[in-house]
Amino acid sequence: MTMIQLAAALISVLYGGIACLRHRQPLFFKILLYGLISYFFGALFTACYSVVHGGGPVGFHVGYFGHIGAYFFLFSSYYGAIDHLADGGESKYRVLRIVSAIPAIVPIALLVWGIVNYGLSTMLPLLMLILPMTFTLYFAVKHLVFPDVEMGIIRVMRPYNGCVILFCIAELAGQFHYLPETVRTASAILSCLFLVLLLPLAEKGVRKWFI
Amino acid sequence: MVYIIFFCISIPMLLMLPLLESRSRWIVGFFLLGAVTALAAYEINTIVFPFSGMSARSFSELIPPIVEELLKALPVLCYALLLDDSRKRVLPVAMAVGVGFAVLENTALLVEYLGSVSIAWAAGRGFSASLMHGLCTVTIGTGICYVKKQKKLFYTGTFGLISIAITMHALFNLLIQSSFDIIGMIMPLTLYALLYVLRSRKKMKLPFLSY
Repeated sequence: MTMIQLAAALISVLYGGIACLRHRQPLFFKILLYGLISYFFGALFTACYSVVHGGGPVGFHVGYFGHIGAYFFLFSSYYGAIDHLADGGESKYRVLRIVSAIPAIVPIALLVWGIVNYGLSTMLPLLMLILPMTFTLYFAVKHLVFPDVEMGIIRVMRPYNGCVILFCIAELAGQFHYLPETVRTASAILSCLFLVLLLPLAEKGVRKWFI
Repeated sequence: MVYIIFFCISIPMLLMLPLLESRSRWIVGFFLLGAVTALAAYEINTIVFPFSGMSARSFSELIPPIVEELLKALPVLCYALLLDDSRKRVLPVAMAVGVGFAVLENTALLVEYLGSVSIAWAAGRGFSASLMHGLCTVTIGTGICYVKKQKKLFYTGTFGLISIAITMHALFNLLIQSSFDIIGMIMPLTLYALLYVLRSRKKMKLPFLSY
């Protein structure tokens, strides 16, 4: 599974790198590329660990930081780069902002459930992963449901935002050890698929910003 | 012994500081601060190691990359916050902190293993571990540049960059202690060459990288 993740991350990084070299890309796209580089390093660490030690790492390991970093960059790409273009802070959209926060409750609820049943020490590493993932999920849902009033920036990014939501869900399901093994394996494979789709969908969207 | 080495290196350099012109003084000053962070990291790692219950090798793959990267980021953050947050200033300062850290670490190791070291060992450490320390700090420094200009990007992006730096550092520690040590030694040089090529391409301006 680690090798599939590594291959998916490598494909994404190469795609993003070539896309940046071929055309001028907006800040949003470049931050996404950094996120995938982080994911790639995390997967590379896990793969190298398996090769060096003859088995995958158990418990918390540095490979998690690759995933944590990827979510921080995804979060950053929304919060730091395009959210101010999508949301002008008008009070009439307050309900939409609250609705967008509802799906973000799911990871927190799963984490709390895990802490209650398996203890804080077991679930602590996941806490660091789930915090940026929750914020990413919030912005992805928000940009999916928010009306595109004038600039067309949000509308063209909807397929990408859908992919980010699916990626977060698949990654989330793959992280909780108390979920059935088949669910976790399927989630891990799906997360690789969504990971590969992230940059092409983002590029397709951002290309329309300049038309 | 580490303190003796530190004083041997730092006192002559401190005496040199008043004679230097402004920019050189900052670079040498932060080189010395890098050595101070190496001392702090040495103390923290020494205290934490007995409590971790890990083998020396497992410990070096998890705790020092986190401790060292966070400590090295602090002087760079202070410089950007208090003095100047322009990329042209912050990145050389970040490199100076990383190299200062590496010089003290290398000298301490040299003294510890005096009977078994060779010129090849010294060259290997110089091109691999030292460069890795510098590169990791520069990676974090690229995000710290945004501390005053774009706070939203700084808050989220720097966490992502710290994650990349920690993963890179841990990956290096993992490989250098294994039978794949050659790959570990080549990794920092490859990354350095890649960053140099990307930076020198005027066409490609990366958000956290380009001058």
